Amino acid sequence: MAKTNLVNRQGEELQEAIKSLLKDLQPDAKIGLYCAIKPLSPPPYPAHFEEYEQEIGPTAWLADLPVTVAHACAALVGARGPVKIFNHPAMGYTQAVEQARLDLQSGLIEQAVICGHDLESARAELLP
Amino acid sequence: MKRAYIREFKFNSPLGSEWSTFTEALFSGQSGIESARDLMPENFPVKSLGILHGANPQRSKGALALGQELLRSLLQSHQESVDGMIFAVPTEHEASGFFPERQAETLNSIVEAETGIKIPPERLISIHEACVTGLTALAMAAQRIRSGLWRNAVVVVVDVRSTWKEVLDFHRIGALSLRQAPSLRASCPFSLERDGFVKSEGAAAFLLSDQAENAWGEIAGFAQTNDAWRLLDGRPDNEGALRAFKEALSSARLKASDIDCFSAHATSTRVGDALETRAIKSLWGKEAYRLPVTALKSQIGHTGQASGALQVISALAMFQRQRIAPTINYQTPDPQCDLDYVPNASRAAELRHIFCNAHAFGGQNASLILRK
Repeated sequence: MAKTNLVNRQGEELQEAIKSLLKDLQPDAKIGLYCAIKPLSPPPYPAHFEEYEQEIGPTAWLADLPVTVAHACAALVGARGPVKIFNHPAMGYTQAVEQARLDLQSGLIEQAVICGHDLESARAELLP
Repeated sequence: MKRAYIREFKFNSPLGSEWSTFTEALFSGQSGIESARDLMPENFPVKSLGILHGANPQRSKGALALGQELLRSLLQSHQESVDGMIFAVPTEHEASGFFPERQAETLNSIVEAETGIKIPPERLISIHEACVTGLTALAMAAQRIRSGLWRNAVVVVVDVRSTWKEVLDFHRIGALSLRQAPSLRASCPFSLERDGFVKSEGAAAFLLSDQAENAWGEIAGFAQTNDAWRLLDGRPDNEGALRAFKEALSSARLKASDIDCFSAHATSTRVGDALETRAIKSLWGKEAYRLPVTALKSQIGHTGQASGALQVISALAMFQRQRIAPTINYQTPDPQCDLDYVPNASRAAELRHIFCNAHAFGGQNASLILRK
């Protein structure tokens, strides 16, 4: 459960960073969200399913999903256009920028929010 | 603007990996779902699964090995240069972890071996968009071809996460069917008895090109929207889904009446199938009752990230046969789901445009229109 809180905390930090952009977003604009999120490797878990059920909360795994962080940011920004998640640790951010450029050029969206988030590093830094 | 065509594809599904086997099973209304008894631990609460035979990560191949196999087979059967790759090969295995950079290198080595071309790293695009991934990966490749950025693209989507942990995770949030029924009948989209989806495995690889010659079909339009609502529920007013429908039609320069068949997301959940039905009725109006709606998941269960890709492959089969695949296990009509779901038996039809639809965690909606 510690990990769930940790990831949520990191998600909150990302949301804080994004909040500073909100004043630049136009009301009712078609906004796309482009996230470079390195996924988490699966953490160790009990060897038997009954122990797993007892020890791990039923929604803990959702916190490991990149889509969970992206969803929280999309709701905050009000992004109702595409929410794209790129997970190559080195190229993900470049690819997110390129996708935003393509979507802006083709008129799919009017504004893009691009963000990067490394769940793995966040866990490594903050967990003993 | 250029056009994006599907030139070739390879796949694996609970209905098989050979085209003739798959299409025969698809149109004759067979189920690929089986008992989980021998696959899961004793006393495990989930009783049914859709498995790729010979490809389960617990017993033989892993996700990446399956992706490599499909990609090699794709490029060997249809040699083209490749300008870029969109891929989604998530792993759920205690020992292996998930390293998209290694997956990119491994898949690129197959491309290099088969075509002599090494794709630049910025064009090896790994995405993770939950259950809309199959459609959005194809849409991203098509977008780059239509804009002239790429001429040929490969798309690889694999989801073989059927360890007990993965299955249990979905079970514990109430997503899976617990109905006391034979496994073959466990997935029953739009039928009153439905109570959740059946977790399944699936994989597909596609070659897309700006060349129409010998193409299976064209990706005529696509759209992706977000509800900005709740993580696990769709918006009750269907606003996001409806925008995806409309934007996909606009992208394809089509009217709703041009669509000959709707391949639904239809996971067999109580709320999801009713919401999707309502969204169809909102856009098509009275014409919705004349639109055939088919649910591939009735036959193969929910293949997660691969589900949209396999919907597209089933649509290409429907184009080839000019026949609509059935929604099997349809037993009792639900007043909330009152459209023509092509119940239990395939049917001949003139098919030029098929609309593929998907939804995912995080309120994501994706729609893709195929043209014969």
